[in-house]
Amino acid sequence: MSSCACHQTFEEVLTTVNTRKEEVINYREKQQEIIDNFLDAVLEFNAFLNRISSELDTISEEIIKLTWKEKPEGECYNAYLELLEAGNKLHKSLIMKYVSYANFRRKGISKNEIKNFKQSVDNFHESLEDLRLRFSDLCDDAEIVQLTKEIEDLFTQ
Amino acid sequence: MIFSCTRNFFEEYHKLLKVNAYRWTLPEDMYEFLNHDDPEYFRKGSLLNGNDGFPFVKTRIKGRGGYRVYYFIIYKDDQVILTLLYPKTGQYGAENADKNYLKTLMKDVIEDKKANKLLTIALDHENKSIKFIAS
Repeated sequence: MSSCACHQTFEEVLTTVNTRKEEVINYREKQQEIIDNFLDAVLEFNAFLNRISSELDTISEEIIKLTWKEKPEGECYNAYLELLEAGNKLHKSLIMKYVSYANFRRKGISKNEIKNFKQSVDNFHESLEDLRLRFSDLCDDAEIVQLTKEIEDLFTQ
Repeated sequence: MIFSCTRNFFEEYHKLLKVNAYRWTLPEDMYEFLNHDDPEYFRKGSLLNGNDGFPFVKTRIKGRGGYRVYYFIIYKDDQVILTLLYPKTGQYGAENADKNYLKTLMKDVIEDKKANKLLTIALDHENKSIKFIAS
C-alpha cells in the first residue's frame, strides 16, 4: 500500500508529540520527586525544632528547681556562675538561629513550630533570669530579707 | 487551701478581663491553677526570696506563652496570697518583674494585710471561674 505525500509529515509530527509527551510525563515525575523531597525536609525540620523546644523546656524546668536550693557557695557558686554564662551564650546562639528562620516564617513554612521554638527560647532565658535574680540580686538584699521577715511575722501573729 | 490577693492583683486581673484576648480564657485558667488542695502544688515555680520565711514564688500558668503569677505561700494557714498577674503575650504582654517591683509587691501584702484589705478568692466550681470577696 502506497502512502500519500503527506504521510512523512504526519509521522514526523507524531514522533515529536510522543517525545514531548514522554518529556512531560518525566517532568511531572521529577516535579513530584522535588515536592516529596521538599516536604520530607520540612517534616525533618519540624521534628528538629520540636525536639530542641522540648529539650529547652526540660532544661528550663531544671533551672527553676535550682531556685529552691540554698545559696551556692565555694565550688557550687563557681558552677552557678558557669551555668549562667553557658546559658546566656546558648540563648544568644538560639536567638540567632531564630532570626535565620525569618524567610521560612515569611513563607509560612513551619510557622507554628518556629513560634513554639521561640517561646521555648524565651522561656529558657526567663528561667536563667529567675535564677540570677534569686541568687545574685535578691538573696543578699537586706530589704528583701526584712520584708520577708515582716510578712512572716504578720501572718504568724 | 485559702486563697487571697492584694488589691494590685485584683486590679490587674480586671484590667486583663477588659481585653478580648484574655477575657475568655483567664477566669478558667485561674480557676484551674487554684483548684488544688495541696500546698506543695504551689511550689512548682521559681523561688524568689530565699529559704527563710514564707516562699515568694513566680509561676507559669498555661505554659510558656501563658500567664505569670507571683504569690506568697503561707504554710501556717495553707494560704496562698496572689500579688501579681500578667500575660507573656498580647497587648499586656510583659517581662519579668525586677527587684524594685518585687519589693513593691511585698509591701503591698504588708499594707493590705495591716489594713485588712486583702481580698479572699473563692473558686466558682459551677462556672469554672473565680470570685473575689472583700474582707
